[in-house]
Parts: sequence; structure tokens; C-alpha cells
Amino acid sequence: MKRFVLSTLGLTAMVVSVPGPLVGQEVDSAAVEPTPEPAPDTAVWIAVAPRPRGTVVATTVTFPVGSDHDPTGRGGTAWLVGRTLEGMAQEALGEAAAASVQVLRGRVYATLLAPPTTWESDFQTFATVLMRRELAAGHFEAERSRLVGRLTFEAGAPVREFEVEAARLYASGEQDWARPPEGDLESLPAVTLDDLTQFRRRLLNADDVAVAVVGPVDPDAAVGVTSAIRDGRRRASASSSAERGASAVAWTTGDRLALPRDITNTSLAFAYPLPAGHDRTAAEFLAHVLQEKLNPVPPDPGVYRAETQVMDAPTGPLLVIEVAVFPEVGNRWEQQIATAIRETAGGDPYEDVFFPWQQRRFRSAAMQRDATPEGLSRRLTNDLLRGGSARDVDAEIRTLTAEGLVTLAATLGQPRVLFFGPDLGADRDP
Amino acid sequence: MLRLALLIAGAVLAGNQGGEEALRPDSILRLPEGPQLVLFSNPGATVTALRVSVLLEEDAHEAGAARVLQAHALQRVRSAASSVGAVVTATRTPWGIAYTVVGPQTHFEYMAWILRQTVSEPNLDRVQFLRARAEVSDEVEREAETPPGVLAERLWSQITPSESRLDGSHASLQQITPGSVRDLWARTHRPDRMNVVAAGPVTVDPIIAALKDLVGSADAGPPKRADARAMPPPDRGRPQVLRRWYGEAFLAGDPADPHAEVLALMAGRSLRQGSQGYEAGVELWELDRTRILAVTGAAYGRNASAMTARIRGLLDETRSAITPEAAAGAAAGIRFQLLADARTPDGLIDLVGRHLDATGTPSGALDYLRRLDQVTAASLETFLTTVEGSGPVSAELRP
Repeated sequence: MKRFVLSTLGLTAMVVSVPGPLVGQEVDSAAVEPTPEPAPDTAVWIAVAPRPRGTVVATTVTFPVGSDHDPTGRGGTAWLVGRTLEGMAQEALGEAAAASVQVLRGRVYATLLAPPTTWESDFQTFATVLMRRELAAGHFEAERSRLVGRLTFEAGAPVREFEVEAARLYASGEQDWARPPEGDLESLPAVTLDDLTQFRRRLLNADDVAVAVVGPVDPDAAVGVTSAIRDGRRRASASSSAERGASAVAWTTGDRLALPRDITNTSLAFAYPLPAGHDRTAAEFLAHVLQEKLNPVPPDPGVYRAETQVMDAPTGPLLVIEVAVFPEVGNRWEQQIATAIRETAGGDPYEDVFFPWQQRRFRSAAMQRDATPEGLSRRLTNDLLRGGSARDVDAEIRTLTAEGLVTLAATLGQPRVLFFGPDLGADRDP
Repeated sequence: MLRLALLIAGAVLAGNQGGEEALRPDSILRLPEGPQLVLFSNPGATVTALRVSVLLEEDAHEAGAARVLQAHALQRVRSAASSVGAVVTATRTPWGIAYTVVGPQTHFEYMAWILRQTVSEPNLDRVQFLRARAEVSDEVEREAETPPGVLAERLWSQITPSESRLDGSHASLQQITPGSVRDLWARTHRPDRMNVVAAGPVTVDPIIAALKDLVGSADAGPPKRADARAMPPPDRGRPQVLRRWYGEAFLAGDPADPHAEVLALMAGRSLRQGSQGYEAGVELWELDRTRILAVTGAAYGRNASAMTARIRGLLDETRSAITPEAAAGAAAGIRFQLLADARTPDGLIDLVGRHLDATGTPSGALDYLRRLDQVTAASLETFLTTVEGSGPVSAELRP
């Protein structure tokens, strides 16, 4: 057992890695799968950030799999597992606690918010539903019906098509990852309750998971309680394709894809490969700086939205920029995004003024995100799954430098660009 | 300065724990001729949240002036806060105006300065005044164009005829001038009418030092009432109505009594079951000294009678659903939601601050949670009988 303590956000966070099955855990023999050999690299990571003055305890259980592991032709399976488990967990917990299960392409986040007085028993209930209780057909059918209704309503919406095409761009050939997490109107009717059961049994793997607890808890006791997520089953590691590519460079050659559509706005997606060995906090800072550059005050009247993020794509981490603009300014905005990257890489002549300003604002946003217990617990599990340790974000932000920002921007790889909207030739920017 | 402060309660941190105990203040001070200060000290945190509330009452003819003052204050400080990434808010509450700022503790001095700016004398030149008034006026007019807004206005004016809406009305807003807003500020933004709630890795001394210069109107003499003038008529909006709208409202106890919240939750659940063919909902409106339970709905012709009958019979229906388990479950759900609301520094100061403003008691939020534990099926039925006895008033809009 590896065990150490680190300082996170000025609080003590205890991180424990628990390799191999725990002794004395309840074993549901019906759920045990024959597994030839336990994968040598499996581990349960548990992080605890005590907050003695917290009013609730937030616990996030994060599995490094998601819709990228949906069976072929059964898109939406993972999504429906998540929705079904969420409904069952909330029903089991009653009104005095809140459960959520969110499924993304390479992640399943299961989060429990509970009062400190009932947290331990609430987590036992939550873990039992998550790992062992038979999936309820009623919840499954209701969730599928709701999802089909929503997708039917959204069918043909340009924004949905843009999301699908942008995901293909980021996936760089990994088609399983590119599929929409919710599935589609063709795949959902084919999904069965048995598909969900198999998905959970094979992939919500208690031997390959990160757990973080934030709130007024005793760290040792919290580790003991959250170990209940282990159910005695031992299965091969099924880490996400995003995990496998986390330290790689997503691609080395750029590309541009134009999909002309006769619609009322233009959407652009830019994806830049982050360099190997980059610092995650520095990459998030670069995304923050670009977000602010692309959203000036007062706002550009031609822009609906401009968003940036660091994305764990299957072939490697990306800096992603998505904008939705008036068609008349689509070409200008394509240039503008490239210019924003180039200018950042060239250094800011007023960096003495603007760098501290940007650093302050980035730090403030990070501190406020982590002030939310479920925000911190989610971030901690991602840190653990990504690198096996929890970041001290506050300390890391303080060490950021203008030179580091310039270097990172300058070492971004070639972008792949998606232009989705009317083809107006040259912009008719007023 | 600290020696002059009257320490009402302090140094209770050692006994504090998480959960509901986290709502028990560490220090409560009344500064001489100054604000009451309630402190939640959290040495391990990195984020600090500060809230200053000003208790005030508007006269009917100036209804909406506080809302204009609040909008102006926010416009004034928003960009200053953004330079350090702090989040600043200003809210018109039933008890006055609450200003908050939240950000990293390293910017504490700057955030305290921002808070001092929010409550300082407004510099209302014509452009700034018109911009703030237009912001409020636009909201009022948007509301007056919708059937739910008009229905709410009609219920409100019947059940509390002497109480103006917090946003005022189109007529009252037109009467407001820069001078009347400044008058409101001068007679209300006085340190002795303020409550300060702070949460974060801060101690008493820096808070007192940072906020000792709150507002300069202490020399403005005793609080005065505004000149008495006729109350402007309420807005009579004429929205385009396609469905039949019907609503009922009841007086539902005071802000310190959690029975109204439990009743509203259970009534809302009852209403959601079997509401086919119409849209209906339950709301709890908060006034400074009372609450109002409002049930409203809308239906097309063939379902309108069923919708109206359902709303008229909702309290009886709710009574029949009251069981010890249902009452305990609803109270536990509200209790959890309040704890969840207070899980961040800004959520904590907002919850504590609102209860402090409503009851005058720094432990008002904690007391409220404890009263929730005492809600039983029997006490809920008694409360329901009182609510039924208070009304209802009703209003209707037809196509």
C-alpha cells in the first residue's frame, strides 16, 4: 500500500493507492466474473481533503471509462447505465442526500452529496447501488424514453451535427471515442437492459477507479468507508483510450475541414495538440488566457460564444477552441483564433501589466471552483487518474511565468480546424 | 478598534464541527454605532466571502428605489472586482439590500474596499441613473407582459395591499429621481443598520480594520421617513392570454417558521401527480415579516375547470397526504438542501445573512434548521389550518 499526505489548497489531502483486492469485502458471488489474472497495474486511488467546517460531504467516484466503451451498434449504453444508476441511487438515498452519475466519452463520474451525520451509511447505499444492485428495468426504460424524446426533438439541429463532426476531429480516427455519449436514434432502440448489466459488470471496475472525499471527515475513517466501493470482483483494467494517450502528442500534422451548411451561424472548432510532458496547470492557464482574449469587454457583436478547454482526447491532450459566430464574420474569426495563438506565442509587450492580471483571475477562478466540495472532489479524481497524484493548484498557479506561457503557446502542434457553416466566400464583415 | 467592539460571542471555534454546527458563528460583535459582525473563521480555506446587508424599508411612492440603488452599486464595482477575479453581487432582499464579494483570501483588503464602495454614497449622474433605472424598469415591464407576472401582481396586491413589490412598478419607477435614490441611501445606509457576515481564513481584527469605514452617512442625523406622497397605482398589464390562468394565495407564517417551506414542498408534489392537461405550480414568496403560499396554473379551455378545481382543492389534498413519514421526509429534504446551499463560503454567508436580516439573530439559520427537526405531521396540520384560515385571495386571467 502506498500512502502519503500532500497539501492541497492549504488543506491536507491524504491520498492512498490500494492495489489488489481488499480483504474482508462483501462478495456478491453472482457478480463475480472469471478473470484469468488480475491486471498488475490496477489500483484504487482514494484522496481525502478534510474540511472541518464543511456542511456536507462530497464523494466522487470516477471510472476511467465512458461512452468510448459502448458496444458496437449500442451507442448510448454507458449513458443509460449512468442515468439508470442515478435514478436508483436517488431513490435509495431518499431526500436527505443527492446522487449524480455523469457519463462522458472517457469518464463516468458518480458523485454523492450527503450530510456528515449520515455520510457513511449514505455512501454504503450509494456504493451498493453503483456496484451491486440489479439494474432496475423501470428506470432504464424511463430514461431511454426520455432520451429518445429529446434526441427526436433535436434531430436535424445543426448544433448536434457540429458536435458530432467536432468530436470526429478531436478523436483523430478513434471512432469509438467519437460517438455521441448519448447514442443516437438508431442505436438506442437496440440497447437492452442486459447490455447495461454487461457494461457495468465489465467496465465499472472497482479495481481501476479513483475516489475523492471532501468535507468534515476523518481521513482514515473516510478511506475505510470508501473502500466499500470494492466489491471483491477482480477484473482486467479497462482504462479509457484517453488515459492511454494522455502522455502522447495527439498528432503531428494539421488539417482543415470545411463543411458548408446553409444555416444561420458559423461554428468553428480548433484543436491544437499539447506538447509531450506539458504541465497540466500551465495548459489550463493558456486556455484561460485565450478564453479572455476571445471574449473581450465589450463583447464582439458578431460572436455568440467562444470557449476554450484542455481536452483529454484519445490520441493525446488537446487545447480546444470552439466558437459560434455570425456567418458574415466566420472567415475573420478563423484568422482571429490563429492570430490569438500566434500573439500569445510571440509574447505580450505589456506582460508586466497583463500577466499578473491574467494570473490573478485564473487563480481566483480555480480557487472558487475548488471551494465547491464536489468541484474539488471531481478535480482530485481526475488528477489521480491522470498522473497518480493530486495537484496543489494554488502553488502551481503561483509559479506560472510569462515565459512559460509563451513557450507553451509556441510549442503547440499543428491545429486541426473544422469550419461548419455557410460558405460566403470572403467575409462580408460590416 | 477591537477594544471598543462589544464581543457578544466569540472563541467558540474549538467546539465547532461540520454539518449544521458549521452554521454556528465563531464570533458575533456589535461595533459601537457600527454594524453587527458575524464571523465564520475557517483557517484552512483559501477563499473568503464577505456580505454586507443594509436593512431598509421603502415608502410606497418610492417603490423600486432600493432596486435602482442596488443596480447602480453593482454597475459601479463589477469591473473593479473582475480585475482580481472576485465575484461581486448585489441583491434586493425583502429586508433591504445585500452586497457580497467572494474571492481568494490574498485579495482580502481589495475585496473589503470593493464592499465599502458598494455601500458608499452613490454618484448618480444622469446617465448612470437612467441606466440603472432602465435595468429595473425593463425587468418590471417584461414581467408585466407575461400572464404569470400579471397573475402574481394581482395576487400580491390583494393579499398584502400595503406592501409594494421589491422592483416597484412602472408608475413608481417613473417617479424616482437621482435625488430620491440618494435620499433613500442617506437615510438607510448607516453602519448601525448594517449586518456584516464573513466566512473564510480571516480573524476578527482584520475584518474590523477593513470595514471600519463602512459608509459615511453616519453623520446624516437620525433616519427619516421619505416625504409622504400618494402611492402610485399598481401596474395593470394586459398580456396576450391564450390559456386560462388561475391562482390562489395564502398568508403562510413568518420567515423563521419552516412549516411554510415543508407545506409548499408537499403541496407541489401533490400537484405534480396527476396534473395532466394543464400546467400548475406552488411558490413561496418571502416578504420582510411574512411568507405567502401561491398556487397558480394555466390550461386551455377543456382542461380549465379541472385545473381550477385542483388548485382550489390543493390544500385539502395536501392535508390528506400528510403522514409522519411524509412530513419527516420533506423536512429532511429541505434540511439537506439548506446544508448543501451553505457548502461554499458564498452560500454560507448568504444563508446566514438572510436569516440574520429576517430575524435579527446571528444564529437564525441554525435555529431554522433545528425548527425543521421539530416539524411533525401534527404540527404541519395545525399550521395548514392556520394557512387556510388566512385566505385565499384569488385572481384569474381569461383569453
